[in-house]
Amino acid sequence: MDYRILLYTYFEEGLDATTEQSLFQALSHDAELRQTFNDLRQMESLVSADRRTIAPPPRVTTAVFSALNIPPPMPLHIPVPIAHTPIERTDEATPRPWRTLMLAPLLLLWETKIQLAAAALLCAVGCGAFYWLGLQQQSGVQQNTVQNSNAPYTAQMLNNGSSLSNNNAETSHPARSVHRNVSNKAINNNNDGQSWLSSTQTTVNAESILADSVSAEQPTTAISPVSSVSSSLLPMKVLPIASIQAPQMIGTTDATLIAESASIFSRLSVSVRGIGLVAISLPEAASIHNDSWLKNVAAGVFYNFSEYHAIGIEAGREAFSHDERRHDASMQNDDDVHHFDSEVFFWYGLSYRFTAPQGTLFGVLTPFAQATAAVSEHGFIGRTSFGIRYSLSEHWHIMGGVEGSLLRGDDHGRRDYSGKAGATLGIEFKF
Amino acid sequence: MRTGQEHLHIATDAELSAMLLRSKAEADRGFTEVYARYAQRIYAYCLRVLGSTEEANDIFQDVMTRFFRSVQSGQAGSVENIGGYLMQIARNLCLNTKRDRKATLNIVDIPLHIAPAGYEREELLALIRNALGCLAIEYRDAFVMKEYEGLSYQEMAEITGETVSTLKNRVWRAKDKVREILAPYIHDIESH
Repeated sequence: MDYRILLYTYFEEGLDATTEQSLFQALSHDAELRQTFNDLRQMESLVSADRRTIAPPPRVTTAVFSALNIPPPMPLHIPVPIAHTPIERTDEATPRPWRTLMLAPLLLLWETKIQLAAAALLCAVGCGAFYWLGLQQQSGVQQNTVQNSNAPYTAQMLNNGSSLSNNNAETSHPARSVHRNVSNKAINNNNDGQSWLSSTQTTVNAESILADSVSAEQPTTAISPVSSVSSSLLPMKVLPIASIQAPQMIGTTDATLIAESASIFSRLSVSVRGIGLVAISLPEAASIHNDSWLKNVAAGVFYNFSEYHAIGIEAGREAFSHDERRHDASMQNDDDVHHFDSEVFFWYGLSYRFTAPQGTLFGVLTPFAQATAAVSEHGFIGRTSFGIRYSLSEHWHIMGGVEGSLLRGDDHGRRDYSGKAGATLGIEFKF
Repeated sequence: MRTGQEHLHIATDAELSAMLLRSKAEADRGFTEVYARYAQRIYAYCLRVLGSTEEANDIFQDVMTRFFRSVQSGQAGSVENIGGYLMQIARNLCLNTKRDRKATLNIVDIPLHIAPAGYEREELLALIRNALGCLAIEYRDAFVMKEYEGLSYQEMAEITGETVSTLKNRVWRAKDKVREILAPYIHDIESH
């Protein structure tokens, strides 16, 4: 009797009681047969596990139903929004290798299932960079404050000892008047330097500035590090930047606006953005096409809880249209590119926005980074955007940048991801 | 769209087949149920026989659209066994694709992914996929139908037109080969 065949039959169809008993007897005293039994059992287990991992990808399901002009099978929990309309064939019969090449790193990221980690890292790096820029800017503002608060006077004192008489009588807030010197040239209106210097709210000692500056024989503009200024060169106390009252005008830092905003209402802003997203169907097609702007819009209300940081709620509509290569036996070329126009669906979620100091770039552009976690009927949506803001007026700002979206859906209990990236353009009103 | 879809899971294949010949709404509902019932099995067959996701996607889509159109056009008549019919279409298309590709690989030519000791289950699953790729197409076809689709030898014979004994022989030889490839790894697991 060939026990190997009996083993196969046992696993496939079962054996009658007599044959099964005979097989088990053979197993009890044949080590090699026992090993074969174990191997087959493990193999069956592996095949069973492998079988459970297989399911048609959502985009393939989409393609099938689109090809047959049948509404998408929502009860099958297909995560990627699905084409309702017939396929619009493009003339491009060949894949675009340069795009595939360019997107190769993205494809790799996508397939290694670290999309969320990569998105989070990207967002963290972006926010970190902007935050660093913000700190640099803040430090620069402080330095300028110190420099500008001393340089004119020391220069004037060095060149003309009586020039201090140009200071005005605004003695109670010397730092404020100094700050205004930067933009408004208010120093020229000062006419009472003596009282300014003797103010109890500032410890600037003009004589020691003069003495130290002269003895050091260095230009007054060399007084730059705040710490060195306060610890060694000057017996001065630099007022915190937040206490500086800034003029209400374009170019005012968010810090000053926040500092002066007494009401919650004044910290609110409303933004509306249209996202002209280029959908990227990954990893299969690596082909892109434009979504219409109206399919991707978002509106939100933000609360600026600190100088650079704001949180808000956003809602919008979204589409994940994509192109896909598809085999069609009726066509000569098997690599036809088909466009799938997805349905539009709504989402809502929480957003965090980091805004760099006003005018970080070229004095007029303000970088920002935003991350949004949202939910929709098709699953979780993560959105990140980086861009710049330009102030049209005190209240109105326009925003532009790049944005990426990631939809995590569920396909028969398996996670499925769809992604896209593109340009965003919007407008914001700050109260 | 969900309306009335739930009760269809008790419909027979013949009833579903008949639905495809009725109004568009009925046909849509019928095909959606057919898809829910058989898509996973057909896709698994295509994927494991072809060994390529891209090819499997294309062939699977072709299978489903051909099925729908052939039933609607009346070519297929009343299909009593939709699973078997779909499997026949899938098998024909897969074998044609493999023949066109003419890529016959020998076991010794395939550098198997040798995982370090302490294999994870994912690696073992990759191993079994590699092992399937080492089989000649007729053995792989038989193995997948038996092990992945769970078909009986009689059903396999109806689909393939081969005799039961031929199919048994193929399945067992395929199992021998797969077991031979997997054995070192399985033994290693057991020894740990």
